Amino acid sequence: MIAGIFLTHGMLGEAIFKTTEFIMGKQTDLYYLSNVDSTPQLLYQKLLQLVDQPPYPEDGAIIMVCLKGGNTWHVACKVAYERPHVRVISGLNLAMAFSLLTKRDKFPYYQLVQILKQDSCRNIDIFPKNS
Amino acid sequence: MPFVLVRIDDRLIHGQVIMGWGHALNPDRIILYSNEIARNPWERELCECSYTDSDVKVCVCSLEQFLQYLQSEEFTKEKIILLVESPKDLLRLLDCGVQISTVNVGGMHFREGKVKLNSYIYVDAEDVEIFHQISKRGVKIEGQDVPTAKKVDVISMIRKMAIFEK
Repeated sequence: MIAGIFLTHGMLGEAIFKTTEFIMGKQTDLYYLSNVDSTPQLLYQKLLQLVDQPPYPEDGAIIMVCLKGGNTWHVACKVAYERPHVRVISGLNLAMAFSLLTKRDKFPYYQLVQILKQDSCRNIDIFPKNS
Repeated sequence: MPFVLVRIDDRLIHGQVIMGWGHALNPDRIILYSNEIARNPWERELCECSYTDSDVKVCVCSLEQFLQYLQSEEFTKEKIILLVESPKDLLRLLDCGVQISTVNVGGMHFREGKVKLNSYIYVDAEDVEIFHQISKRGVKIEGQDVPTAKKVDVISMIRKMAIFEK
């Protein structure tokens, strides 16, 4: 199974993790990490430990961060640069999390990450349409 | 000097800088002074693509590139946030004649051998020594992680806690 990792500022990742489990039930291969009380070096070590455990080097891992340009983004990109089976996507929201959980058994990780981007953007909308 | 903020932060550019300081100070350019990142093309590109919601330019400079930029016409016209990783890096800039009146200390995080000054400033003996050197050159050293937080006088905190005194 492809690993999903919510890597966020504050408690956002934990909240999204708990909300997805509240709606979809208990999940495997799903993790959350926060930058609170952690240095970038420590986060980097934790991420490596996670993505290097079997079966992720073969199945792949997707790190989902909340904000492009934030320190979570920088740390995650460093890991992806060093591990070819890791992809990073920013803009974590609930739609992205649900897309991961419902589609990760249907696509390889490198394709899935593109689908996550489409699905999370598709969920952002305005009402009324012409406002 | 058009620096709107000179900041010591071991994370360099990140959420607090982009969303907090960037939006409060509205700079034209954010400069990351880091010889190490300047030498690494992919990490450089990663940092330079960090600002996503406006036209603020982000650039990584080696010492040589930064000193060259200070001589350029752009420098006189732009509002700049300057980010350095450590007090040591700031001292190097002062040694090269860069004029700085106040430095913001926004993130020096825990590492082995460092002592806590507050939740975002941890120092070792070398940091304290360098802070004293910087202060003696007339640079005010203020701790403040985000614009809405209260400023604290870093030298006073070091003296009050009597850490790494000789």
